[in-house]
Amino acid sequence: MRLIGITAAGSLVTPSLLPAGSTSSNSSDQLVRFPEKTDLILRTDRPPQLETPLQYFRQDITPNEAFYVRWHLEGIPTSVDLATFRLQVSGHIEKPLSLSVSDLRSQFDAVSLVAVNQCSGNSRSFFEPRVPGGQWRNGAMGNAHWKGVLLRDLLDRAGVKAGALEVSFGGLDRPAMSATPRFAKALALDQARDGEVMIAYEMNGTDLPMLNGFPLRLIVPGWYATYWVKALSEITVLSEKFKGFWMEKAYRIPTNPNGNEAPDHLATDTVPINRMSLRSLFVQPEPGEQLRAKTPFEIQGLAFDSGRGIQKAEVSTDDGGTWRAAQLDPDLGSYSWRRWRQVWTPPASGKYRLRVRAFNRAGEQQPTSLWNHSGYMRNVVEQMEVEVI
Amino acid sequence: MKPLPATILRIVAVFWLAAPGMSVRQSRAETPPVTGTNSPDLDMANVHTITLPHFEPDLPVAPGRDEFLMVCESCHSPRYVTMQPPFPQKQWEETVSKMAKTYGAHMDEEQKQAIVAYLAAINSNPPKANAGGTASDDEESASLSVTHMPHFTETFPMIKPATNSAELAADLGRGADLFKQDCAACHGATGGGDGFIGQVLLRKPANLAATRFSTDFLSRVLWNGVRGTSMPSWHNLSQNDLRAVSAYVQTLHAPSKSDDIARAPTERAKDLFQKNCAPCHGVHGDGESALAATLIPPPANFKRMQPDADLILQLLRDGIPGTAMPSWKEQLPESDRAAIADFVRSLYEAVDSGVK
Repeated sequence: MRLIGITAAGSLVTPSLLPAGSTSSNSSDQLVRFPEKTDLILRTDRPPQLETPLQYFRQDITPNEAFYVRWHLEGIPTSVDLATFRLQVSGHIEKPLSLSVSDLRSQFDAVSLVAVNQCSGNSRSFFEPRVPGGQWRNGAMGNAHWKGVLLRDLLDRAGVKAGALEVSFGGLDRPAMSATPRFAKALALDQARDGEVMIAYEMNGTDLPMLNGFPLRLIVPGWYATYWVKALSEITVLSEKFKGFWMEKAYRIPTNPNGNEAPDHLATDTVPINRMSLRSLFVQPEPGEQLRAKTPFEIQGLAFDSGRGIQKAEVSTDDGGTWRAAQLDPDLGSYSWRRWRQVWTPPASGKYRLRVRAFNRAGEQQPTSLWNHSGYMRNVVEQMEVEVI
Repeated sequence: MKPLPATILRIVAVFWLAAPGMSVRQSRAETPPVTGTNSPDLDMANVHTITLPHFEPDLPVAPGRDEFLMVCESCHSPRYVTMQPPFPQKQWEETVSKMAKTYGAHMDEEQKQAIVAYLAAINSNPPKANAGGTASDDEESASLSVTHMPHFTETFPMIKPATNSAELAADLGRGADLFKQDCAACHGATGGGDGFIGQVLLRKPANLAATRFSTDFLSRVLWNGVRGTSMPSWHNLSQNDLRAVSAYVQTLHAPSKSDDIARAPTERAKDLFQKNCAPCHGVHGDGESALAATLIPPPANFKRMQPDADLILQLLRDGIPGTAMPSWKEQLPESDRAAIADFVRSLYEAVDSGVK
């Protein structure tokens, strides 16, 4: 992992938004505008689930305004007073902490990194048979430059007592009904102290948007976004295993490596979802985009994993018959996504099926099929039909 | 970024105060002072606030829609359903059961079955005969609206208030605990309709501090919830607990000063009400009208609830977002609105038994 020292806010320029009128990838999408956001695809409005249109993935860093939004509980924070907001660190420690955002900024070393944040259910709408849940296409993800402090530094300040096992995290969101479990996640102590997990107070050089977790968000590089607790306000060190609904009942995956199961034979052994599966996606052409015969076109997309590092991406323009390595853009860090490009000149008009697959430095490959009843971790080799005219 | 001079912060803070309707008010100050000696102006600059928009879909009309609107709205927008692909009825059964068992949605077996039937009707695979299309399909919705709907009636057991002061004291203690646990998240700690969850709702929770409610009204609403709002039914509570909540809610009402003066409504006020309000609220102001039957949530019944004059004036001026109640600011001069407020308040006729 590369931790890039940042000396001044805003040293990383947030790319400007794409011009209006860029094609949306599906004409049935309803685009809506929420506070601090540009037009995003409406999945649902209360609590909000808003998807990033594909066009924004032509940029390496996803602008804050275009970054997807997903909350679980109806009571999401809409107002935060930094004068009174405190991050509480408590539990199996020597010295409880109560820290303002300015305490974090002034009393701890700043660290930053570029990392992909991807919803566990990203691409759920492509599962067949279909499964209930947020019906995302590929836009429940984004790549941002996060700046904040290391969780390890906070835990060291608090003094973790011997016998600590896990650390749990809660935010400012609340359920409407007292019977609904509050949202909370947990990490093993070793991971919490690995020098990578951080608490971000900046996203792309500025405050986090309220809908993305202002004022603080847990950053768990390489892990699915369910762990990236928004509006983080409580950190609790535990001497026993965390027993919260959102770890024990929800966000579980089949124990096998890909999280695979069959509709008529659901997995009985499950574990909490964890690190992100290797995947690669098309960014252009967009679905439905027509290409011209004998005219070079740059096929472009993204590949990422849980931080092992993308080794190569291969593209097929003949439905998997032959594969050719794509060119990789410069590496922005292990936890960033990596852009790949391949120029293709369609030889003649007709329909073509494109495919893309990535390989990482750990020797992992993408599966050709995957299904689970929660619609998690979709990472199959992508296919796209394009029409050449 | 350098910290902004305090004068600029002060100007910005004043602007925020003057523009509460802005959707985003965000601090531009880099780092607030570490010590706790902030001036009020600087405190204001530390507050980061957004106002959420709502994009709730029109839901197709089919049997079970009322139950859906009663139960499911409490925690999420109906859009969570309309975004789903068609599913077999079995899937909807599983999903609705999960909502009840795992997330604590308030529904009895009858409501559960009605909701499953509704979801299967509007969103099933394979599609059901005579079932609706998607929520955004206006043509489909229009053709469905002629479907014969069973008349929606609400029955409820009447809460019998405490009959002696010892009982009442016990009720108020228990009611305060229940209110804190189950009601305050939306209605606010003092019932002002300003709870944490209330902030995100399109249809704001009732202002219990500025409205007098009859016991029969509370009996009905606590038992059934309110269709098309996030108010769930509470019939899982025992009759004793319902009585306690009802009694406690009635103590939250603190009439504003202007209400101390009883004003007799004039003929003009009555005419204004009949002309402008009766089409929805009914000629008797009891919320019974031909139009009312088509409205979700239903218009207020002023025989059973009596908002303070200030609240009525505010609602007449601003309307009620997410309901059929419009703003009357441009239609009626302030004097007419004040007259209507007096008349509305005169309609309240419930006489509650029990000790006070």
